[in-house]
Amino acid sequence: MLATGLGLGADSLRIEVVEWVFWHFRAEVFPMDKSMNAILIHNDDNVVTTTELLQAGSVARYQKDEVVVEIVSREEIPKFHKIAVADIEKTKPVYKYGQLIGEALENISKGSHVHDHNIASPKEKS
Amino acid sequence: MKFQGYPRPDGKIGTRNHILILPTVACANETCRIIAENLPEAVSLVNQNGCGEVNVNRKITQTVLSGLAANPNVFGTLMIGLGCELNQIEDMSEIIRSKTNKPLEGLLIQEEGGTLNTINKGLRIAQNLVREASSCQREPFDLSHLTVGIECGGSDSTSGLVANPVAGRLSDLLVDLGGTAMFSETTEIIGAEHLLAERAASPEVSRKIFEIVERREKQLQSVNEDVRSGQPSPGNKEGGLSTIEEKSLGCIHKGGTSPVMEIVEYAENPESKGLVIMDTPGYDVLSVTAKVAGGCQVIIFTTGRGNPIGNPIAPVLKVTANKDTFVKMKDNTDLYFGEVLEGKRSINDVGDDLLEEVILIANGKRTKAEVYGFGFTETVMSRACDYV
Repeated sequence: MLATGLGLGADSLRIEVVEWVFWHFRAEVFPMDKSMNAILIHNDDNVVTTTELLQAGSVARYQKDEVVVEIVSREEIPKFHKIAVADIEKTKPVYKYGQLIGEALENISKGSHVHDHNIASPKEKS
Repeated sequence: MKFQGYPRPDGKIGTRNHILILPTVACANETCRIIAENLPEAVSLVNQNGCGEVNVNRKITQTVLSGLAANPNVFGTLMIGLGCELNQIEDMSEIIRSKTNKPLEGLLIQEEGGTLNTINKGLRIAQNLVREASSCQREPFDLSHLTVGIECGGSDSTSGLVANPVAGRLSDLLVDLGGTAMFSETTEIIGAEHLLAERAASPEVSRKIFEIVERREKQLQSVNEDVRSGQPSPGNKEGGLSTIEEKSLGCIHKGGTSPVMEIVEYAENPESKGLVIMDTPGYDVLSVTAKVAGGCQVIIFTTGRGNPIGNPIAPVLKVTANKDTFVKMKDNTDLYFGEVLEGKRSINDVGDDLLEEVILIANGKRTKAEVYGFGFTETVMSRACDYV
């Protein structure tokens, strides 16, 4: 909308696409349902962010589209940290915001804590 | 929508009405402090530089100091130097004059004959400046006269989820109203530069986004360092951020969704309105200083872990979406956005409120850091290499 206002012509489409990717989570995620305790920012993500401390064996509950997804945490996950919602093989990408945030340093099982002990910047490793 | 500001002779509009007692070299810091402490609305700052520096560093010193003097929140400046330093007061005067025609005075400690004489004469000069400034009245101005700097510091996962998107909403609103939103911290766009480049208003701006990231990475490589040895910080990590890429992807939400109109060089004034990015490191005190030198009249500071810093010239408004931090560091934190995480409000609603608060701050309401009088020791500038 802004792009059109500025008369950027062909560029505006590109900007709109980025806007969608970027702000997708705003409309979809917030305001979030109070019964949820984790947030999936983008559907391509293989991690979600917890909104409370999860003990090992407790359930992380997040919304994907209209569906509530539950995963059991394999270990304690601190508040606002990440939990894997899929198995991530060693060297494979980790996605948050629909974007690459790092690569797995080891095989990470679904339900595990994902942090600097098991992921790193892609550049750091090269 | 308007704010109440102080019109300046150079056409800019201040949200504060300070007299700046400016040390042009470190040797004048204490003299400046004593003068500023004795007059209402007078502010000063610790300048570690001004001598013992090679040309590239001297230019940084001069750009930052002249930018601070030219900031619209300053009515007028009294420069104080020593006399024998590299950063000669005549040069500083010329550079400030090239940016603004506001009142400007200067004294040299060696010429006045020591600290007491300089303080005596400086107080008389500054007293007159304070009296002249006090006759300025606030008048209503469109938000197109406002440049808001957006900083994030002590980030955690809530910063990227809520606080930065809320600041981004404010940025979009301000841009739509013809104003300028400026964010910076180049080291904290690493891993997200492709998203910003796609929003660049021109191929030139797009190219520059990649260029400033590469420049900072190469500068660190030249001393065998990697940004990742200092980023993310221990507090970022405790707050759930694992890599610089993850931190950056949250950080750039401060810039909302508007096209990136310009890449502004460190501590320089932008030429464009709309959303602009200044090339700075991610170190908060430094990055805030650079944005204020670049003309920002108000700074919004999003945080997850909490942060007390201020600035002598521009109000710094602290906002967080982390409830634990807001409760624990309430005396340092102005606004809480956690209703979004609690499912009570949307990011856009809270962003609309933030714009209202920014207007109140622009009108003169003090931020918590301002009430403490923080900022004197919190002006920090970049160095290209060691002193000589």
